[in-house]
Amino acid sequence: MTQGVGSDEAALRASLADSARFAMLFERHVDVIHRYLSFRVGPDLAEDLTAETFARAFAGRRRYQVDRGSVKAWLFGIATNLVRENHRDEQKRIRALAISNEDLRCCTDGVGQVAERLRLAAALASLKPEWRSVVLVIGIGGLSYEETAAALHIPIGTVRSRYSRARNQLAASLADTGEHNVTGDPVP
Amino acid sequence: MTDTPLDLSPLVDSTPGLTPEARERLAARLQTLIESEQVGHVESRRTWQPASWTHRAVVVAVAAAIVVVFFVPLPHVSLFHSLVAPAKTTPASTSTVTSAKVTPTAVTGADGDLWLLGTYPCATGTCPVLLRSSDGGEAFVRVGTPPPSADTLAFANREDGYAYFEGATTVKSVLYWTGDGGRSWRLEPAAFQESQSLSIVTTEGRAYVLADEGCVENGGCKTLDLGSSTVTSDRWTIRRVPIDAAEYSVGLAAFGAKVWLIVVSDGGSSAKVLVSDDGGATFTNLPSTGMGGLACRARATSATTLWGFCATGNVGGVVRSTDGGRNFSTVSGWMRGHRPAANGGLILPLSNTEAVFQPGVAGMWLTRDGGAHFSAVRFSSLWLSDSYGFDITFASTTAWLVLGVDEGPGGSNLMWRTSNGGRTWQSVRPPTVPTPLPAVPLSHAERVGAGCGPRCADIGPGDVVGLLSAR
Repeated sequence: MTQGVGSDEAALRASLADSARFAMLFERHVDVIHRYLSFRVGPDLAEDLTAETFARAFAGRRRYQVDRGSVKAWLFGIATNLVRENHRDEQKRIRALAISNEDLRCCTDGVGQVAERLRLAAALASLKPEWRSVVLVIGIGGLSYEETAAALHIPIGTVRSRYSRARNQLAASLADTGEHNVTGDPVP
Repeated sequence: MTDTPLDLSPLVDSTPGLTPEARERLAARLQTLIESEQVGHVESRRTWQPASWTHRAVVVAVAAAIVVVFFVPLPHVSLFHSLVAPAKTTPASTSTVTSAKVTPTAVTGADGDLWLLGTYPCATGTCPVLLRSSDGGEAFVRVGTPPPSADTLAFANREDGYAYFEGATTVKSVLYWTGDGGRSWRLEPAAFQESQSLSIVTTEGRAYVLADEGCVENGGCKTLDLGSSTVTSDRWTIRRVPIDAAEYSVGLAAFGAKVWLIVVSDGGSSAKVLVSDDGGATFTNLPSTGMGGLACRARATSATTLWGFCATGNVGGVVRSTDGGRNFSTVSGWMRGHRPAANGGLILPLSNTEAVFQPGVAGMWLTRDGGAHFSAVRFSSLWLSDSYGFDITFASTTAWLVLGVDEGPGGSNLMWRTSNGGRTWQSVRPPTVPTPLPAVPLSHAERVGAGCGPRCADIGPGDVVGLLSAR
């Protein structure tokens, strides 16, 4: 048995010779990519963009460079680019979240939690798009600062500053509208 | 407030997740792309442009139709599907196809994959089949037909591996190599076929084979050869091992270019260790302590760490060395609270500190601390059953497969898998193959014409006969 060969990078390399190996990356990351996209552009468009994310990754896998971040960060970068291309859908999605509960039909929790979601959505909608990308890639994707920098093609210092400013703005917005629990810093 | 991170879970949790149906649709889309690239019937990546899924689907549907009509199905194109749903190989014709349950007889793992050697009922009785799983044993896909006589597999990576019969007192060894994931096999040098006891170790891209030669039935063997080759080829360098006539090797261990031979003599004195730092070109006698008993087998997990099992004739014990084989000490954990191991025990290391121990009596045990403590590997309620012989193999440090071979009449072989290093286990559904089997192109096989000699006598019905020929 060889150690460490089951990594994303190894699977990607192997897919150059045997394209079926790319399926491993799909298996590992499709859920989180879909969740990220679903939050940003809504479930209907998310499926298409998830498919497009993996199609672009598959088509461009020979251009992947391991020294520019993990495969997961690379996938998030592709997904974020697709969100940018569909930014109007994202704006509509977040505004809808902020003013109604039409996309919260999945949930059966109480009124207070719904209200909390609405406040959070409204606060997110007020962020600059580039700040929102940092917040959501970290918050939903679970990427570290370093991976986020690779995914969004920005310096790590920019990630830190955007995240910090976004966090402050969100916290201030939430403080104006009610309490909100805060936990879960990214891995530096 | 500045240092307080934001919890997005209220929103994240409310975002609908991927439904199984949506996942299946996404998988099918990607599968289409993968298949299209494999058969080369869509735009090249250089000219590929994002297009609507509808347009793309039309293009690939046409390509797929062409493939179905004109080309032999490729076995590996169904691999992706195996990751998202239980896979079954696609028959060439659907008119008279039924599926047959495969009885697994041997398993091995490497590089994240698992291979399964098995048999299925066919028109001529029982036919052999080789299957592979890339999802930790959830689904197995047929790769091809295993070579005749081989009953054991050892893969070094996804493509390169060996199938062999170890040999016995009255039956010679046989060794085959594959460089294409088991689709075709090549018979290895004749030097290995005369052995009555063949050992093979793959490590860091190299393979070592230890084979005795000049064997007389029930009378021992005259010499001992060590063959070495990169696993990506079958070009062997074979060297005579420097041991006396009264000595014989019972253990081969290797890590990269470092090779250890455990040698015992007819007199029954303690085992000695020969070590090579140059891939077996030269050996030196290593003053070693702690390898007691009549026979010791060892496996290396690094250039300095070896795990071994030594049999004394009555019982056996696990030993471990952390100084490259100079000193072996009996692992303490097994001595506390466990029955003594039988002579047929086996230690299967995963790393320098982790190993699964099969004591040769009922059960299977795991240590994660170098042998200081052992805990039971409870893969099933049958884990202590005497009715089964259990083998365990590792696809990775966390993906393992247990094969239970029924040793009684009327039962069937069973499998269990874990994806988290033995913490939880699931039963593996028996794989099936369609019968009659579709053709499998054997791209690397040496074809020797239409005549089918004894070397292909066991090839299953429906297979493309890429014959296995002696070199």
